[in-house]
Amino acid sequence: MTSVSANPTDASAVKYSSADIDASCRGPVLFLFFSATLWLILGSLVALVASIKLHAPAMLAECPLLTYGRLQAAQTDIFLYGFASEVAIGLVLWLTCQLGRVRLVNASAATIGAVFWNLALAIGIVGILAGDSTGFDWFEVPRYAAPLFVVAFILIGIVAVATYHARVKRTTYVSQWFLMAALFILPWTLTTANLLLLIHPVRGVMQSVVDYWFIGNFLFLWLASVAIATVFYFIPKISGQPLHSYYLALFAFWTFIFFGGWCGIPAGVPLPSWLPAVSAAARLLLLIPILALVVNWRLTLANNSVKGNITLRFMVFAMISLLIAGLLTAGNSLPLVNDVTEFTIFTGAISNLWLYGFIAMAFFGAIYYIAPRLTLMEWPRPALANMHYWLVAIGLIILVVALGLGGVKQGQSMNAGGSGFLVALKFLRPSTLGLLLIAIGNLALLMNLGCMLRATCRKCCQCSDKGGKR
Amino acid sequence: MNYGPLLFLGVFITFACSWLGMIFAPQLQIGSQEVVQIETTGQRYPSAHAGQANQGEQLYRSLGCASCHTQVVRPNDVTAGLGVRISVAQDYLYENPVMLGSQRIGPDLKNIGLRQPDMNWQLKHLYNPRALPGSEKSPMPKYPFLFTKRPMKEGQPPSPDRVLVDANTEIIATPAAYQLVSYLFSLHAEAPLFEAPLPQSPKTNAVPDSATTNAPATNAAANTNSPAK
Ligand code: HEC
Repeated sequence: MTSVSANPTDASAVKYSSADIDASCRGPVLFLFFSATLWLILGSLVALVASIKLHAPAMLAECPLLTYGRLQAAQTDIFLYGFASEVAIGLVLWLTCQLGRVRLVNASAATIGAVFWNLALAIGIVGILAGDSTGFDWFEVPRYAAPLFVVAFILIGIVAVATYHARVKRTTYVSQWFLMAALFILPWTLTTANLLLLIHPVRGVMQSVVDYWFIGNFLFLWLASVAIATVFYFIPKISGQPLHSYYLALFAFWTFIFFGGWCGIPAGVPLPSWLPAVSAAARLLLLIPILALVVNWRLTLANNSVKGNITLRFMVFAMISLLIAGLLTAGNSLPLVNDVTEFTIFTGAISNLWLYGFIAMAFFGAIYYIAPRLTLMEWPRPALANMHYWLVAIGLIILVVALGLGGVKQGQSMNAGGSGFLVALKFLRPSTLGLLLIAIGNLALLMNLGCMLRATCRKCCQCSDKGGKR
Repeated sequence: MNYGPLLFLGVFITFACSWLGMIFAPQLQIGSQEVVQIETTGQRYPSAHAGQANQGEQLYRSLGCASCHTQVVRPNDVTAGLGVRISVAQDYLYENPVMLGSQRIGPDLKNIGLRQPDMNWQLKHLYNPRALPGSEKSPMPKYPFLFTKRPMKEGQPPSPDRVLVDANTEIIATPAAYQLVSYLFSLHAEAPLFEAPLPQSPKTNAVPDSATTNAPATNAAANTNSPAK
């Protein structure tokens, strides 16, 4: 294995300029980022309404479309497939181009793919609200939306792989490994879940095994892998420091990809006991690559003198969240802890740390960097970006602390023979506040991005109209 | 690591291991489980859902009850009175989809059929959980759309499906409400299995005849309805 450039900024192979490359992915990536942001807002609102309904269950109770269980499922899938996956796809495309110093192979195919993805999800969410959820966690989108997802994914996957293949800069960077692995594993995972849960359902509790496996892969090997690739790109890029260690990154990659595929099965489930035991061991071992990642990033940042860069702040927050999430995930697989926390709202604390603290924060940071380069325009309201950061950061801390502490208390109450729901409710109240702050923060992103796109369109129209109509 | 094919091969092998270990191997082990005969009673277990319960299961799925309720009894939960024994794979043979749930806002329902076998209670609870004594602070949603309302008229006989009377209006259960409750009644796992025997054998149990049904029922009902300490 030959050496790899330890710095993604290294432009040894110059055929296309960065601006050239950005221009080639402008359409699909901006479209994906913008629709992802719209989904994010929608998801935040739905999450908020669901959370309020816990305290006021009579609210909107007459309407079956808005019953808690359906809102909860819709909210999850909007976040996972609408926001997180769409930004992830946008990042796969953009990073593949930038790191390969190559133009996007077929931007219109990617855009069509993105449109299909949005359509599929819209159909899926309406289906969930109408009562067609599959009943499988993280996989609620009904079967009839699947064909559109397949078309979307095939289009996007082919564009991404073809672009990777056509790369001008042949040496690869660690981000590309994570991206290509994610791009390879996602369809495998989705296909297995579709076949074994919906098309030819396996029997009994095997369904839960498939679903757990799916959840683990979707979280660790799809979303988190893209987020890791993103942080690997931006930390050296913005700080201007070369990546601390290539071999540490290589080690983290293989161990993460390996252990990540075994993590899904929770402790107390009614399965042959080797299955949860293997998963618990894998979640403990996953801490090794996570530590390797965090140490590598931290040491890369050791001599950093860049201050106040919004992207870097999001990345650092993501890095810290990853560390905490990894520690909690590992700790939570110990029977001592798990006996108390399993099936409590503690579960929500961990998943929010992963999904929001690590993945979404890394993605936000990337959007703040990439969008101005695609629109050739500064953020119209830098203050809003700052506000976004703080609101989401504070909201998230409140959310995670409330759910974490509440989960422990709830578990203790349950184990003492109580039902625990009154205890949980006490802690769910501050968590609603956390969700509210996050929702407002996300609104700031939407406003900023919306203004930016409107200004871009206007500029564009003026050019083509020769400054005629507005 | 500059060779695409090498990367691809490595990822393929890594992930194939996960697939073999987490999908293929368990499918070999539990994927073709069959109904068994219970030694003590000679009954076959588990029994398939009746038609109503099947439709009820689809309502349970569609309304997302699993976002607040699990269907798993762990050793701790036996102590806490949520079941007479732990849950095992055998218990779920006829569930489709299997909805184990991941979070308990409300109590576990794996044995709700034992714990609360009163049809009227269940219907009232679905209509408005907070109206029931002990559940005044329940966060569980109301499901009024599973019921119809009919104003009471002089001389009109009461509907046979009347659940309660609210401000001179009859609240009447729809077939959907009955289906959902049938499903809830189908949720009981008290048959002793080889891999999950009942914890107390009749010899050591102080109150032998209540070991299977009554004892856990009363315990757990008291637990869920009283505010947590
Ligand atoms: C927002 C969360 C939530 C949702 C959604 C929910 N429940 Fe509940 N459920 C609870 C809570 C909390 C309790 C305990 C308080 C009470 O009795 O209302 C409970 C209690 C119950 C009980 C009584 C359990 C016992 O041990 O006495 C049954 C039965 C029940 N729920 C069935 C359902 C069904 C069926 C659905 C779906 C149509 C559902 N629940 C949806 C939260 C929820």
